[in-house]
Amino acid sequence: MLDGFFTPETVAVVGVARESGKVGHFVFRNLIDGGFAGAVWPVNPKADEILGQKCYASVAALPATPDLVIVAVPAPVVSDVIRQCSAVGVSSAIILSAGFKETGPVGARLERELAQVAAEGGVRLLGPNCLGLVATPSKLNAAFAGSVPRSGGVAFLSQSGALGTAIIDESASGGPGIAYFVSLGNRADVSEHDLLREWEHDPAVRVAAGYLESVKDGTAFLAAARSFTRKRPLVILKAGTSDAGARAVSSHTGSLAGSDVAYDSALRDCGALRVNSAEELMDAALAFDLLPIPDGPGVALLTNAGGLGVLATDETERRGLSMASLDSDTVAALRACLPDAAAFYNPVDVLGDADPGRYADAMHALLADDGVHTLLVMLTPQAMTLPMETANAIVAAAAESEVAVIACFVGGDVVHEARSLLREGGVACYPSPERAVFAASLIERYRTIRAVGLDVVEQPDVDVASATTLLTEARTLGRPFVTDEIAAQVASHFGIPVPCGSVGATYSVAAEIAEDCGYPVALKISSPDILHKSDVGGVVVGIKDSEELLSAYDSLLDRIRRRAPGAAVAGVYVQKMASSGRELIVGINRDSTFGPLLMVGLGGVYVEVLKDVTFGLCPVSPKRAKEMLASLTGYALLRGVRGEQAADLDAAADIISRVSWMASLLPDIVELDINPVIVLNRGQGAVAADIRIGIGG
Amino acid sequence: MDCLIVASTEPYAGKTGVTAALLLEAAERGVVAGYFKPFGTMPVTAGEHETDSDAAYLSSLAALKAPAHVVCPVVRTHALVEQVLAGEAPSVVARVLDAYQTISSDVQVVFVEGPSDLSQGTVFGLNLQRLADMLCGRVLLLHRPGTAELPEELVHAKDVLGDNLLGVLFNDVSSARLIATTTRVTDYLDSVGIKVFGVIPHDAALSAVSVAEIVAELDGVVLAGEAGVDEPVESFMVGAMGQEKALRYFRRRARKAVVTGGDRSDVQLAALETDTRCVICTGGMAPSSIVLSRADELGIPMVLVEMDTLSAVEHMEVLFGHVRVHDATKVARIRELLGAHADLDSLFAALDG
Repeated sequence: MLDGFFTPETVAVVGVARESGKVGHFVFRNLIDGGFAGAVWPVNPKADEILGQKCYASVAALPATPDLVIVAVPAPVVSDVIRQCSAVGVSSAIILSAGFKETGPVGARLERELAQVAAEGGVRLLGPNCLGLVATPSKLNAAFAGSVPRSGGVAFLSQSGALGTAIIDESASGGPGIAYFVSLGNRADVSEHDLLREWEHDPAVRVAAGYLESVKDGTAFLAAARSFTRKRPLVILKAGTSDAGARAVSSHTGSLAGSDVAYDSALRDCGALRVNSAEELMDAALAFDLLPIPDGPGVALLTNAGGLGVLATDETERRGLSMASLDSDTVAALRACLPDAAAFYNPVDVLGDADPGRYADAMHALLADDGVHTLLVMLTPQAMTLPMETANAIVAAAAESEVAVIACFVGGDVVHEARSLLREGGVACYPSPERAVFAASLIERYRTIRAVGLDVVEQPDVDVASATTLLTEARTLGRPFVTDEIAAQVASHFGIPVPCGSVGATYSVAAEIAEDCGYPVALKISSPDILHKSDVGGVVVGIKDSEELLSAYDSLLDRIRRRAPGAAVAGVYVQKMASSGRELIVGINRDSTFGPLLMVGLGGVYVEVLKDVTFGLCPVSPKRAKEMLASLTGYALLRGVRGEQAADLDAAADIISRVSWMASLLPDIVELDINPVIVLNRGQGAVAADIRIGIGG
Repeated sequence: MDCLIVASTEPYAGKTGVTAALLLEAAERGVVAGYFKPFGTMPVTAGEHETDSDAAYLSSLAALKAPAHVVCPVVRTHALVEQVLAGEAPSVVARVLDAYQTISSDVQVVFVEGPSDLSQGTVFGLNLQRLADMLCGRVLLLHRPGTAELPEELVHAKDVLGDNLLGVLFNDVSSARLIATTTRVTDYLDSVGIKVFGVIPHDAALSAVSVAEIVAELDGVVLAGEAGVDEPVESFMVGAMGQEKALRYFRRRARKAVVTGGDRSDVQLAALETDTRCVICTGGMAPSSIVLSRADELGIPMVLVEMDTLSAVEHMEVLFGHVRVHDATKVARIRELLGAHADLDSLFAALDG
């Protein structure tokens, strides 16, 4: 429980300087000016009184144990303060002080000591090196930002304190209303997943929004986020997506930015909504703070300018939203209240001379339509337009309806005041049709997430123990990749169909294997030193009989001797050729934050060029695997084109799901590629034709 | 008194390590053993005398009584090479025999660290064939199977050495060649009268160098993570890619050093996330303080070097290509490997005979 941070009754600030301009002094003043109802005690052994409040020499000297202690003393003495806190039973502390791991090894040691002292003493820590915290329900402004945010339903968490000051300032200037703002700092203890767990049950929170450069604990975050998004929306701006950005993250927070596709998959899998800019983050926060989650997908557009209507329609289509098809009664009602020149179908154009009454009439007609779940009301300031009065009309109409009403007032000074009025009236207003439609798309996405639910995975019947034994044995050889033979055996233990095959150390053994498996066969060089067999001519396919086998065997070994002279060769892997079919690539890479990441794409020779791939966190259910296949650009090829039969998607999805379980249950696997998975026609199955398993060094 | 000459078919086949392990093994079996290296190639000065660095190390390891210059009486110095080329090759055979006399006087067996191949020492009359005759020694020939498909070097050695070839020990055998070597190749050698005493698999720990050795070689400074400077490093990788690719690449090797630019905090962190023993930051650019913090927390040394990445890599290649077994832990590991993969009982029984 983190209630000590959000609903304290008494707060002490340790390290309040007498003069202004210092962090401790600033926070102390913010606490007093913010109207916090409980006691606020300054601690400074050298002062008797600060800002008219009696000052105390130490935490021990306070009149009672504070619920929350805010620490702004130099880094080397912070641990001592926490020891004092622990001694008197303080449960929560915010460490504003810098000088910890962000400064180098000496600071890092101080931070480790601090975390240990706090953990042993039962004190939860926020920070160090953070901007502090704001909780508007308890009027607690324990941050050293220059502004005071508007109160509302957004719980913000930020890994950048400075960006936090901008968020607070934007809130204060008519942006989204804030319930909580938390600057995470170095995350020595409290991190994003703790906050989501706390906010999940807090009625003051309508949406959580976060700026993150990395996630401290991927597993804990996913669990907390999954649980949170069942109840409230979660919006994340993840920075460090480019190589240069990732480098900037590394030197800012000392953590890897992580693979962007892994974050994308993780956020999608846990039902969070990812945004791509600070502006989108604020727009999303505003939308979820003020708008209801719609009951359905239908979007209606209402405008006094044809151009805006077209722009918004384009954007609606581009964002994959559904333009509501208006009921005939609605159209009739619109005809009754609008001039003949108006447009009565979606988008509805009330014309440039529309007065507030016409807006109100059209809104009432549209809000009464069962197919309209989100209504976007747009306005440009034309000569006859009355922005303030129209805003009032929109607020009034929206208040009477369950439909999500989004306003879009486009213009400058003329509409500025009207926008504020809309926001004050509880209607989210955006300055462009694109941003307004973006807000509509977010609430629709969250509606879908809640309606569809998250993927539920059940472990299939697999032989983990046998597969683990094989990999453990392979590890003792110290080679980063297992042999083809072991890879196929591991896959078999997970119920993945593989072609018959084995390693022949001599020609006679190879010939026996070929006879046993049946021709045609393929030969592949078996050498731990050769990673890319085709590059050195180490693969021969389509061998039809023993005569061809002998010649292929000789020529293959000859080529290897010439092209990979230093390679240690164990023999040749003889494998029955799979029938031809459509080809998929299935891969696994292990992400440093979220663990195994599954890649599925169309395989074959053009895979590198087309890059038609999709990603997901492991494990995935066969159902999710099918969704992944369906999301590929080339999905139609799997469904069959021009009279072709459909591929066996059930069998392909089963393999994909089982591969994801391999990665989840066999931590020895650090990377894996199956290229190709050959998918036969419907009902005929699929087979993992070439498996490469990396177990690391 | 018996004499076993540990020789090889090529340099860096593991003679010093195997000889050291045999010395310790003999002591444990209650066999009084001596050590002799007639011809050294790594000159060092011990007191007033030139001797060989391997010999000096083994003398100290096995607490041998004889002084190092007796243990290794002839060392190939530059001066000696120039003498030979000027047609003034000194006669060293008598010196070798004298020294051997001293070493062998009160022991049951002498382990002689012999030439690196069949021709080494020929100009001094000290090649393997001559030595075996001179010292009445039998040869244990170490061989690292390379890419040759037939063991012709060993059959040739048998032709040259005849019955003086006691047998063969395969060393540093890659996993891909283990089965073929222990079965088909051993069977074949047996059929032509060559005894195989064992097949020792490749062991990465034996070719490792410590972080401290790398720091010394590159003239570097440890900025953080000093706790890890004694850790062994088995290989090195260069990091110049984005963090995602770097992670995938770095996971492929354990116990490695990573060489990268000091400004590449993403690559450095990726290295720290994987099994890395030290990060070499090149170009004199110190890494960011928060990365140093992480390295310090993990106890992984961050080493700052002035040279560029290319030069650092060249130095590392030389360092890793010429690893010497002057380390008690490595000798202990060789004994373990011999115990597990070689027929030491037969070897010692052959010496008794």
